[in-house]
Amino acid sequence: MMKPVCLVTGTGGTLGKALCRELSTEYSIIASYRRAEPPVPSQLQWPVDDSEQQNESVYCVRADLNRREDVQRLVEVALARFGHVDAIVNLAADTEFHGKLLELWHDDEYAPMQLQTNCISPLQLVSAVHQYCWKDQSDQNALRNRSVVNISCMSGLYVFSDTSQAFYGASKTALNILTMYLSIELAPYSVRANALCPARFSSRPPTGRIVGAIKELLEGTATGMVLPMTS
Amino acid sequence: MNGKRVCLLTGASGRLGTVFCSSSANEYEIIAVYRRHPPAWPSLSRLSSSIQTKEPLDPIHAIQADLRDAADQQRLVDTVLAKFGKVDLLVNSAVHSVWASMLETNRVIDSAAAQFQMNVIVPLQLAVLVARTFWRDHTVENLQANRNIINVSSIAGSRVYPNLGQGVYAASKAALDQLSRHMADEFSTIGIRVNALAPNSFPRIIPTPGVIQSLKKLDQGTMTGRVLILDRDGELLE
Repeated sequence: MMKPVCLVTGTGGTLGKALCRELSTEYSIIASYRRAEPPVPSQLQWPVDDSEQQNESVYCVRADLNRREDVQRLVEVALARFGHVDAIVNLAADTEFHGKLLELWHDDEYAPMQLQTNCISPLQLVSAVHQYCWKDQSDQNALRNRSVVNISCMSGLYVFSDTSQAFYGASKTALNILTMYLSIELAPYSVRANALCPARFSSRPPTGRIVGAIKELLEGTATGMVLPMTS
Repeated sequence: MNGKRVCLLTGASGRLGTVFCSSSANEYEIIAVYRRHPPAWPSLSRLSSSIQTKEPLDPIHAIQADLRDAADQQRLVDTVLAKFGKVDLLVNSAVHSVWASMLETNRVIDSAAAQFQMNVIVPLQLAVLVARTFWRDHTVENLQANRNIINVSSIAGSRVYPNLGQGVYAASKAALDQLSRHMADEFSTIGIRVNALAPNSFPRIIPTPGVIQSLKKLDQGTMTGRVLILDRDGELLE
């Protein structure tokens, strides 16, 4: 069987880079990024030394996933390159804390944008892959253990007082419940969906452990899980 | 002015709003905010007119507003404060819900931003507007009058109900629940309590008067930062 294909968003950051490196030995990766391309060997960068020979495994696509047309293009490029998608890791996120609610200014667009980036865009991507690829492939989905991993946050599970992260937290709570509902809708097609909720700041797990947890979810059998994770 | 509590109620033409208006106008001065159709109620007065009804029932005060519009929000709050001088209870019950498969059609995805706006952002904007315009400078009075906000959520925000197509609606209600907890944290500094009321489907699963009863209990109680779930078995606090 050819290598599984994993579509990873938000690969410009630390976790995205580490995930691309870790997965690229076993997966073909479509690495979506918005501004900075992931510093990993890909069609955009030659290997920096002889030990990094995985440049054919990572294919980078620049996309603004808040734009529907970019979501469509990303999926079409992934299918053009590899023919199918076996896994989606929704890592792209708006992680800003926007200050006190009582100081919210009405004309600010940050609240709808944060909900769009952290909740609606991941759904749009899953829906697009489902429409293009998974919808008529239940047998292949089961055979290839296809799944979605949404990277959420502990802030979606608990209220951290006096941290000005109300909207960020609410967007991640929404993503958690959305993942549970997605797992129900994807189940008849033999596709799994789970969310991973690493803590931030002082109790943030090391990047390597988060990568390992994502891999476990991709390779396991769980579905509908929302997993908290601390250091 | 009589001593009734002033209740600003959005979504007044909905199921909950209609029953609240028809059962509670003797206890609250209700400002019934509607978008398209005024709530069906015999003693309706327009907020900005001076009509005094002679009906045996106390009037409710209806006002049309498109809550997605910041100018309409400001007009609403300014008008209410001009007429009543205070807001004791804000009930955010206006809702936008589209139920369908998230994967089979684009209906839900196309409506997702609008659902999040009405179910998450508008309740917050309205609460912040009342706070900035009035509550912020009345902390002691807020505490004495037990002023509070009730965000009407749904049990779907914390329980998964398969095959009803309410994934995005549920996600928006989950966000509202979490936002309510954060609001409670922040609004406590100005003496305002915030809770969410998360009923199962009414009147299909639970009777609407039961929802009204729980709503009044939240208004009269002292709790804050909680999600009160109403199911067929009764109430559960989260």
